[in-house]
Amino acid sequence: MLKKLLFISTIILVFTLSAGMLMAGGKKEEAVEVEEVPVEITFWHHEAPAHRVAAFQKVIDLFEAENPNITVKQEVVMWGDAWVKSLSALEAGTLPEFQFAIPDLTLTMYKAEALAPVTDLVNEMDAKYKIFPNQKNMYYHKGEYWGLPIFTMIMLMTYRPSFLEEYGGVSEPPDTWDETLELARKITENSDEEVYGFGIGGAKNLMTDEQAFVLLASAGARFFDEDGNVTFNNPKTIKALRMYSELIKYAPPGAEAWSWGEIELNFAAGTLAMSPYFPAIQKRFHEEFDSSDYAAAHVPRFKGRSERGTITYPNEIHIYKQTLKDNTKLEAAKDFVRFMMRPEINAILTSGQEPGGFLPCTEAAAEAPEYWDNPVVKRFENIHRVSIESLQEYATLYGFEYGKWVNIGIGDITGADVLAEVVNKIVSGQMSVEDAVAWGHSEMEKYSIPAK
Amino acid sequence: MRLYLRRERTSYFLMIPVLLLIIVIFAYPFIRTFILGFFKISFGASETQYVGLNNFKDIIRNQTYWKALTNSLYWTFGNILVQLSIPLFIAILLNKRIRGINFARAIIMIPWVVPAVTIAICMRWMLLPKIGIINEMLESLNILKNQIHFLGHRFTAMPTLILLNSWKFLPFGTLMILAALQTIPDETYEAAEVDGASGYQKFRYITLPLIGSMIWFVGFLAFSWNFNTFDLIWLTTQGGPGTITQTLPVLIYRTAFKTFRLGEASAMSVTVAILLVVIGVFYFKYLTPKE
Repeated sequence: MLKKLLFISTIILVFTLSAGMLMAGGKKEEAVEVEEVPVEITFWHHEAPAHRVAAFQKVIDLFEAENPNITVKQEVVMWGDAWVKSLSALEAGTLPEFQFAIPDLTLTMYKAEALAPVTDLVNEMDAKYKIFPNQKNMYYHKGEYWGLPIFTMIMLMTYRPSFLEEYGGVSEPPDTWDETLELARKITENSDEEVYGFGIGGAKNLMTDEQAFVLLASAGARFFDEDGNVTFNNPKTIKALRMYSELIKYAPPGAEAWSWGEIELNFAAGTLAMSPYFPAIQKRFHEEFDSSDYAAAHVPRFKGRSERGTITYPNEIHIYKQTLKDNTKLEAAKDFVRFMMRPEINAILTSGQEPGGFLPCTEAAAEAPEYWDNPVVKRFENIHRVSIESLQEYATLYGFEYGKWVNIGIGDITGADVLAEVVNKIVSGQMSVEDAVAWGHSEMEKYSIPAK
Repeated sequence: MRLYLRRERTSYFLMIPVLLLIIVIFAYPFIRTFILGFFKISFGASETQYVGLNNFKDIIRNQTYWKALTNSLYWTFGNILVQLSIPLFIAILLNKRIRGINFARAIIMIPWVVPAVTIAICMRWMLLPKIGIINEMLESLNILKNQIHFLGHRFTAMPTLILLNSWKFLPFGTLMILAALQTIPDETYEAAEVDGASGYQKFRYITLPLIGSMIWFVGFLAFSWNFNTFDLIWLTTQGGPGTITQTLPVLIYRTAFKTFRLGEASAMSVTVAILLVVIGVFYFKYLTPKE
């Protein structure tokens, strides 16, 4: 009897212990799933002004509140240093998990074999929020996306409506470049050179690259053909730059040496009527001058051409190969990127950060009430509608017009400011338009690396 | 003898930290740059290719390089001229014993403490036509008939930059020369006056010889600092208009960090180093004032 009792007790004990151990084991596994490991990720962006850093921090704080196990650190690297620092960090093994960039920088890091494709993330976000095709295609190469656009920038024909009315006798901005030239002349002359008709630069810098490209894009001129061969020296480029050299005659004295700051100063000082430029000065008109005398329209066309053209810079994030080594960090980075793409959060980085300067690049973000609720956006609503139309329809970037990378030397061509130097040679009278374009063509060939 | 040798060994031992510092800070970067000059390197790209003397041949054939060298010499000697003459004049004025002179000596230091970035950005905008205060002022004083873009015009850009740069150098040159002036005893001038020397003669035969070594020293520092100036030029004109103000440091920066051709940029740096050494040797050998 005692033996029987002992046997049954042993069985019960073994069973209980086994069940207990199994349950404990099971619970332990569940606990691992629920109790997430703390993880810290770092990203670089290039927006140094305090209010832009604050906008990024706001997004980070909201994300961390939702994901208490993830700590996100932002580090600011100035645009001017971004290329050198990124490449140096790559060699030193100190790159962040991901960083913000524009196509040129992404391409530089791609050439340095530092990037991991983000195709899955782009497809996921595209399905959810519908990314504007032009914006995502600038990061497409060899069947993969190498960057996911978060927000974007665009140049439009910005102008002061009161100057157009007072000195030009028109209430609407011009539709063609010929009309623009005539209006610029009229404004400059009728105002006795108190107000200049057109603001463009001629220095060897990125701003001149950008403004000249607006005209090139309008004329349908491109740096490369679809196979990546340099095609800069063509009648469309010559036509565009000839117009540029005419328009600069109606720019304030010294425009040949301008950079971004001078355009903004002249606009704010009331010495400029029109300029192809980023429509971000609206914030100053709203906050400092409490004035609505600032507007933007579609970039004019060339006579006989139905297509328009302008420049856009999709600000993307790319993930570095090294991040793939740590799956927890990779997933945390992807979660943060997904968070930034939510339309209501994206609005913090666009209209919340720099109204008119940073724009949404998905249909969902462009429709988000959080974007349109911003007081600056409300005041200059039309500028934002035109911006989004342009982004969806025709805005592009030199070297990235084909929906794929055709020449990976474009980063060096931009770095060397070849287009700006061509413009500089023309506006300073050193060369004729034809000679300068031919010179630019041969310079571009030095840097050219067709993707094929 | 043994004590002497031990002392000598100790001296060499004590020199090791300084020697190490020189090797790390000067010798290693120079040798590395020299070696890089023989390679084709695209910054960030994994491949490097030995190209022998090709980088050096390329820069010799490159018109932009020669233009930058000419600009560098114009920039350097233009600066030296201003930086030796104006501080000398101000130092002579500040050497007078008059009321408020200490305040004037303190105020002269202001340009020295203003960062180059601040000078560059403020002056870039102040010199603009139409909205810049300097053009406005010169026009209202009838000094200028038409406003000009000082930094944007091919004839005015370099002289304007030289003046801006020299303004920053002014306190250093002035204080160094002033220090030398203060070592000249008053009795020397009094004796000259008794002999009937004019103001010019006192300056020519007393002041100048006695502060000559200081002017020589300031001149040498001005030469080496000016030749390598990058910040002010980059922040104001970036070498423009065209390539009018593109000096060798600006060209090297552009080549290395805008187009990422490190090999070519290294070769240029080596030529600059050699040039500076040659000029330095010449300066010390032939222009050192005799005791």
